[in-house]
Amino acid sequence: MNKQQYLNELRSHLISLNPQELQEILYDYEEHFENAKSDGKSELEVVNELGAPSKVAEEIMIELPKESQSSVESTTSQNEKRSPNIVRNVLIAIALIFINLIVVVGPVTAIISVYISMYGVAISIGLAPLFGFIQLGLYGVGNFFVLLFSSIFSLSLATLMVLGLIYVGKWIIFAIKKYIHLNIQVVKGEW
Amino acid sequence: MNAQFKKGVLELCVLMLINQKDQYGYELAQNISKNISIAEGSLYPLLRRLTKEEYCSTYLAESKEGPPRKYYTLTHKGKVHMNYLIEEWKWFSGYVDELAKEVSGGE
Repeated sequence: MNKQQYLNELRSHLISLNPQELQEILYDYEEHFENAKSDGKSELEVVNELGAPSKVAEEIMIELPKESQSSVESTTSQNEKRSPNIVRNVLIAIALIFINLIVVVGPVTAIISVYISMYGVAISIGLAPLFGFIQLGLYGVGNFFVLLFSSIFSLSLATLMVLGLIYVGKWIIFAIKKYIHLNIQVVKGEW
Repeated sequence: MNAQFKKGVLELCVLMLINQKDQYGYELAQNISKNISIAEGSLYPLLRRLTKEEYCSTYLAESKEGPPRKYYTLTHKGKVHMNYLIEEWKWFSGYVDELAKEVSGGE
């Protein structure tokens, strides 16, 4: 194999690269041959030192950054995806804002208000026996032990409620986040 | 020498050689293959990647014989990367040395 055959074979393995890159790569090897020649080496010697063109081509493909391996396809498909969709995206965004204002905001606000008021309920349940104690202290009405046990009971109930509410709250926040994310995806046209 | 070893350290060797002085591809290939036998063709893909990653940059310089030569020079980023690889290499080779000593000590 001589220099020209070597370069031709290398080119045939790299034909999928963009022409400019291919040109640069082949130039490096051509320069290598030239410099070896002025160093007094035969083309055959250089071919042996370089290693098989197929191996070299493999190395080149491995070392290449991913995006330029199929640069032609990826740039066109990206352009098709992005540019003609701006009008569509704006329209979808406006439509979504209306749908959300009319259909979604009302129920979500209601759910959140109910959720917050549940904390109020839990707190009043927890504090209710306190008034029993105040009554007992001020007017001597009621039974101390009954009050003690009912206060233990209502305090535990309130604690359980708060724990449950925190759990539900996390779920609500998660659902809201998901919903917002979904909206953004729809506007972007990814969904 | 084991092909996987060579592949791993080739990048570091190239960086250190370019750090000593700017070199063109053929020169670099000769300097490396003096001590490590490699397929010299695999040097250029490596050099292209190092250039793309901005560890080295290239410039053309006329030569007395033949076409202008493409010289490779180390960038600041390349020096930082080289020093990082040297540290890694020291740690790695030190560890392997320790294990090797244990093997020959146990025999």
